[in-house]
Amino acid sequence: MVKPIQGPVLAGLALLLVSGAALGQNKPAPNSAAADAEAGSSLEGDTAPGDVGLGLTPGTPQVGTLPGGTVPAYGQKAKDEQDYRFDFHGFLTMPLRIGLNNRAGTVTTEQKELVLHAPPVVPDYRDSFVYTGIVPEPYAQLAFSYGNSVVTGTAIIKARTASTAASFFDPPLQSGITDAFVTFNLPNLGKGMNLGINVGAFSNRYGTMGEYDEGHYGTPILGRTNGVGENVVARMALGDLVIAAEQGFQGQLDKPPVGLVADGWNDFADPNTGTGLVHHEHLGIGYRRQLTFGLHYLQAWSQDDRAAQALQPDGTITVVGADLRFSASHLGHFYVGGAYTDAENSRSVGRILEVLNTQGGPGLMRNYFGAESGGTGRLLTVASEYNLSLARLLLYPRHFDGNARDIVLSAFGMYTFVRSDDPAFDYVHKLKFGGEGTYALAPWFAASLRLDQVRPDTAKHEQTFSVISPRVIFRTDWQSRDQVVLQYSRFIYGDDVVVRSGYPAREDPTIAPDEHVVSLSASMWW
Amino acid sequence: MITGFEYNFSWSKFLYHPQAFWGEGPDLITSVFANAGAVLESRDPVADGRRFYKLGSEVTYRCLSWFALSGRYDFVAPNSKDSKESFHVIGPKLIFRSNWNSHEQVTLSYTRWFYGAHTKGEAPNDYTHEELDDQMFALSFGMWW
Repeated sequence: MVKPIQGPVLAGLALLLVSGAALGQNKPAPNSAAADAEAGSSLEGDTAPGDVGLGLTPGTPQVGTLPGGTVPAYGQKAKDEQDYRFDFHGFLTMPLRIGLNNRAGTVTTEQKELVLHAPPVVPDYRDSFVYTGIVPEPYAQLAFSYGNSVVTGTAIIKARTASTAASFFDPPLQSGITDAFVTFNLPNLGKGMNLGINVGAFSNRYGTMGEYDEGHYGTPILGRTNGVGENVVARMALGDLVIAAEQGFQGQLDKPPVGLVADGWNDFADPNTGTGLVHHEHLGIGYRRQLTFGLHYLQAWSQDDRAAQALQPDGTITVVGADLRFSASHLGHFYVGGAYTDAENSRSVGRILEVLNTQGGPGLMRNYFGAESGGTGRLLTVASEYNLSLARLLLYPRHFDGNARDIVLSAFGMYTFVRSDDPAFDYVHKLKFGGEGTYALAPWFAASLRLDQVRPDTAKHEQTFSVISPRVIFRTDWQSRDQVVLQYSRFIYGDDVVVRSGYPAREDPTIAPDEHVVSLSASMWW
Repeated sequence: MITGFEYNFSWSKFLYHPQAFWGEGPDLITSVFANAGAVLESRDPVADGRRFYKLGSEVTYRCLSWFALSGRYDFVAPNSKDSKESFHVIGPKLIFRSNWNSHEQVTLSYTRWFYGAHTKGEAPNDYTHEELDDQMFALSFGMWW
């Protein structure tokens, strides 16, 4: 089947290549990628007009040749097309939020004393410890996946605004494609073993308090990595136990260039941050899908001489932590975790690692360590959340499928202790806690009440504030994938609660925060 | 004036001929490619008459359905008026994929640059010779459908 080869070198090469044919099945595969590229030659003597092209079609990606002689056949069917499927998932929530307040200063006869603010002027900032997530935030995420049981490519489009409802165009809120990655699932490595590998640009989150989400505070207590790289998850079942090990390494695609002027369009990027890198390792053990214990280690660093300040030291942020998750359907879901963050000269470490939703070292300085710390400080965080369905508990051991009345109770809290090289921010205890009760009394209706208290500095009671938030919830069915929430929140402030103002937003002690907030938000997920 | 050529050759296709080879087996793929150009006329005396070219070669051995080895060599001569701006690049790679003709691949590569004495960056990254990185590790993936 092989033509006679001239010369021993070619003969050896032929042996090398053809002997390996047993590894693959060298038979016609008209739908394979290579076959698609080969289509022209396969039709020798039967060439169609469309087989001749003098340029690339408009839809062909504007990229060079991939390494390894690979010939991507864009738009062509895969050989095993039946195995491939397209998935589309998403989450949408868009709230109307109005803060009510009294006009500051003199009120003229042509002005109403009542003022209306959108967004509300309240202390609820995602990167700050005071964040509770009570005031709903705009968010839209569309995730597109294509692949088979072994490999899947995913691209995610994300935005924290909707242009049609925004008063001005704020580019950082329209993130565009935030994630692009490919996932390999290798299920049959051994008995009871599987391996998952992500490669590309994506986020990893650790220390999330919710069972399926980031919890009531929307804050991973260990950290969130943002970068491009890899993440490997290995699991091995041993009877009722599952051992899990996870590892990841990510970097950034770029750094803010030297000379860049921080401005709104670049999300006030900081040229003093260098290229960020992060590695993280995790080890966990699970028991009967009910109990999971995890140990975590994350370290982000920068060692880049292109940071604007030539003598700026290289920075690191190290996080170690442990968490325990208990999830039994009738006893609810319980989470408790602790994290110790050690930051050294983290001024130069960018948003490759977000600790408590802060953006890298500069974010830690702004929210925890202070401007004079140089990014050096330590955080100790402990957090817990418990969610319980009374219907599941009372009906146990019968299964409750959620299609009936239910009362869901939640309790949650977070404590952070701050040590900093900046004396003004050193030795600060921060605490927040709350509870929520929701009564689902009809397929289309539920009523809810959430109570929160936040103490940004337990030694300064005048900074403490509380929030009472009754809600009514409308939806299309007991377990629908949509809901509309009408909420009122009453903020009760201490004498020295500070809110932010400006662009970029900075703490402004001269502003009186809104005490009343009304919101109407619609959400849907699939 | 710009000229260029590229030639890609699959040894398995060659050896199997006239039987068709569809890529579902080991293969050795070799490529050579080059670009050359000249500024025929410019008001800028620095650019006027300047010639430039680059050439390279890549060899890939697709030895397993999930794995291939690849190496690439490039030579770039951006300025005929200063041969010390020329540089060489070598880049060995490991390529992982889910099947012979899969629609994705993950590449782990190392790249080493050998710069001439006057090699420098170009705007907007106009780094000096000393500021240029001469080694790179990269992990990348591609997927298409």
